[in-house]
Amino acid sequence: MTDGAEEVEFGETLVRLEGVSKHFSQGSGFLESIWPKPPVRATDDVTLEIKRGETLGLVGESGCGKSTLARTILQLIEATEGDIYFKGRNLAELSGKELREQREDMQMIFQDPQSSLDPRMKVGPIVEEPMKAHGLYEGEREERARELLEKVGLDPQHYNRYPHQFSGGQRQRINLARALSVNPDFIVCDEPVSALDVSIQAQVLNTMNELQDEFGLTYLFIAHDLSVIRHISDRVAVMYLGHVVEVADKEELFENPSHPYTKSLLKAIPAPDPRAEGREVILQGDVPSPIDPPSGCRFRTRCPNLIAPEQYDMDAEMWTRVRHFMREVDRRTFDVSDMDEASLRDRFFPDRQPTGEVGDVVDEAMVALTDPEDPNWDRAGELLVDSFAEESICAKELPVYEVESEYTDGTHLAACHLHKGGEELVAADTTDVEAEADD
Amino acid sequence: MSEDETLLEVENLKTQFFTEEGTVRAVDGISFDVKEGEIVGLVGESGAGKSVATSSIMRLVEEPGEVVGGTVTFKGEKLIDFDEGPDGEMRPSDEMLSNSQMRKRIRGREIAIIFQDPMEALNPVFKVGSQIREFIEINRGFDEEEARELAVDMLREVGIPEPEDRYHSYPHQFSGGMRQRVLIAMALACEPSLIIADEPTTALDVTVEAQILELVDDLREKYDTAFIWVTHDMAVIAEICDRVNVMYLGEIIEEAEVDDLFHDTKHPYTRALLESIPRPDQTTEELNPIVGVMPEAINPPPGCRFHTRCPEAREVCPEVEPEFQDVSEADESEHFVHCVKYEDVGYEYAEPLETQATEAFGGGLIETDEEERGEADD
Repeated sequence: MTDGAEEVEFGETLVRLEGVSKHFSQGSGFLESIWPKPPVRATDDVTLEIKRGETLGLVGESGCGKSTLARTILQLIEATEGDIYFKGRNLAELSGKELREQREDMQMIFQDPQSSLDPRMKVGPIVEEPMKAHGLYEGEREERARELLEKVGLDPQHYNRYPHQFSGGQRQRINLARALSVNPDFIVCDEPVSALDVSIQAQVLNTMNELQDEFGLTYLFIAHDLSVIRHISDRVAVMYLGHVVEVADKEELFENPSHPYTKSLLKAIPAPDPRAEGREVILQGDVPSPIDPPSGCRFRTRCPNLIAPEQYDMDAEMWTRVRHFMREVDRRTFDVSDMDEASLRDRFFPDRQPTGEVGDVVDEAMVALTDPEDPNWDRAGELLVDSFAEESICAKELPVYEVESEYTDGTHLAACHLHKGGEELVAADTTDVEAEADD
Repeated sequence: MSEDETLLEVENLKTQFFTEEGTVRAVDGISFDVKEGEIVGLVGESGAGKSVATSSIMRLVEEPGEVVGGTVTFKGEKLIDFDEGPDGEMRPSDEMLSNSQMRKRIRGREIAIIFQDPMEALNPVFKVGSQIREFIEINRGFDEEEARELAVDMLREVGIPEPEDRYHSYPHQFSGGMRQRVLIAMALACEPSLIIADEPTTALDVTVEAQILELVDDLREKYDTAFIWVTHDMAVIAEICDRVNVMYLGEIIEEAEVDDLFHDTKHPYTRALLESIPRPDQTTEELNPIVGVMPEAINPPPGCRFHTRCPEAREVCPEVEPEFQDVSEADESEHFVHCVKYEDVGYEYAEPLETQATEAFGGGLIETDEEERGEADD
């Protein structure tokens, strides 16, 4: 145990993140210093707590900043902004020596079990390496390494073998043994089972669970596979494009998802059962670039429940139609060469036409689109996006609200204006319209 | 959906790799068929021989690998066929298509293939549109302008936004999901009867995977294309396939319609595989992993190849090579299984076998030759 750090009881906060951001610059050198390119905002303003003894699952699509966040927590990369507290100490304020000592309590396991093991070292010395680095267990290292190999489900006799003599799952066990060798409190696991076959995945997950019970470990478990997250986590944080959008206890998050992104993500997972309800495809398109992320709520550009701008007078149904039209124009998903204004209206507003200010904007966009000489997509798209999407509360404010937990006692945070409460909000529901458009 | 017209028939296909350590029997006598407009799954863990099986069908196996036996019939033509030579040796028969016939008539034109890594299949220095266009020109004999139009149409068809502009983009300017859509567009452009999809969604996020699977389902309905869907993911199989073949160590050990496979599972391996995966729609407390790892195909276990990890293994299992037989009742759809439990070879009277599977916790090493490893250590 490191001197200077207070001991943390089980269930108390072990790691605390306050407004942690990590931005990467895109270039370096002289030109960059004169004409700097905008940074890649990998994680932005993340506030999270990890309690001692729990497994916090961190889930999100690739590129959402999960791994950056993990590396920032361990101070493998320096945070651009914000503070990280481990056992109450601000890690950024520690000196190099103190930080190295602190690392004894924080270990990491990587996704690729092959590249994280030195191919020229035997397994025993690999497991002993962290003990040497921290000057621990002098004289009893070999014994401890053998003991740990057995704990993680390997044969202690394999002390003298090389990593290539093991299968992927076994190599991940070696990684586990190495992480455990300095008796840490906190292990960051970055996609530890995603490179493994399903049957092997289950073996490693079970071992990780057993070790957690035995050594009182705290895990930050990063994965993109929601089934794995559901199996191993106590609490779950969902990330989208550098922001944490929802945090709740596992059962609560899976049974009562409150952020539209979490909902869409959960509906997108397939169940290994042909009789299960089919997955729904709600999210269209790709995640926007983290170089110039959308303002306000970052999910708003793909959100099926975007909130209507207050200044316009329309009901949810009309807003849904308008938003669908806006999106299709913006992405140019249809061919206008053989369409006139009437057929456009018939396609996007079959029941009734938008009126008032909304009607004016839609009219103007349609005129631009149906120009027989040169349909002006850019103008139509910009007009619609500027008048509607950019005026929504979702584009203007970054939301964080607490939602009432329905399934557990824990706090449930969702970063979505739908939970603002009080005022009347007109939210779109484009799932039906988009399904209709597909038919 | 499935018409009873058989499109592709694979019989007793064998592919071996001749390495210094010995002969690897990567695919060891598999048989299955694909009917028109049907999606047939080929599922198994890594090393089961799924990809070797599909490359064998396309005759794309490279040195030191070689297709050594079996017959593959596609629309009445023999993609692979052997007969016995004068010295009792197996040699390609006269009916087997020549390499140039395969190249000109079959690959791309009749059977297209989509790989896991789209970056490998696209040339990074050419624009995406021109790659599709060239492919169409070569395979369908269109002139440049027609081919360009079709390429843009196909890009729109697979859901790429702003297809006219994206036609001029390079592969690296697309995201992973979009690249996979480009490959699907390319595969579909020649309206093949069969598409082999080799783990096409494995590298993608679930949300993107869902989009691609939906797209494939729509396109299949529209073009009536059959698919062989290779994957390790039972959830994808459950969602998209009509029929499934489960592979283990170079053999197909179970074949059934998708609902039967999941709800009337016959082979212990398939059952163990299904029990080992966590569910997204319910919380599982304890997972039930399959013990041990798949043995190497260079020296497969005798008898049933799964007996070393099988929770139901009995003494008869290593001794008897199981038959691949239909075990369905008269009024049910076909259900083939490769397990002595369903044969009359004395399984019910045999003693349980003492294997890893009967012990509480697995994690032993791969079966390797100790001496050989000793040399490697020095």
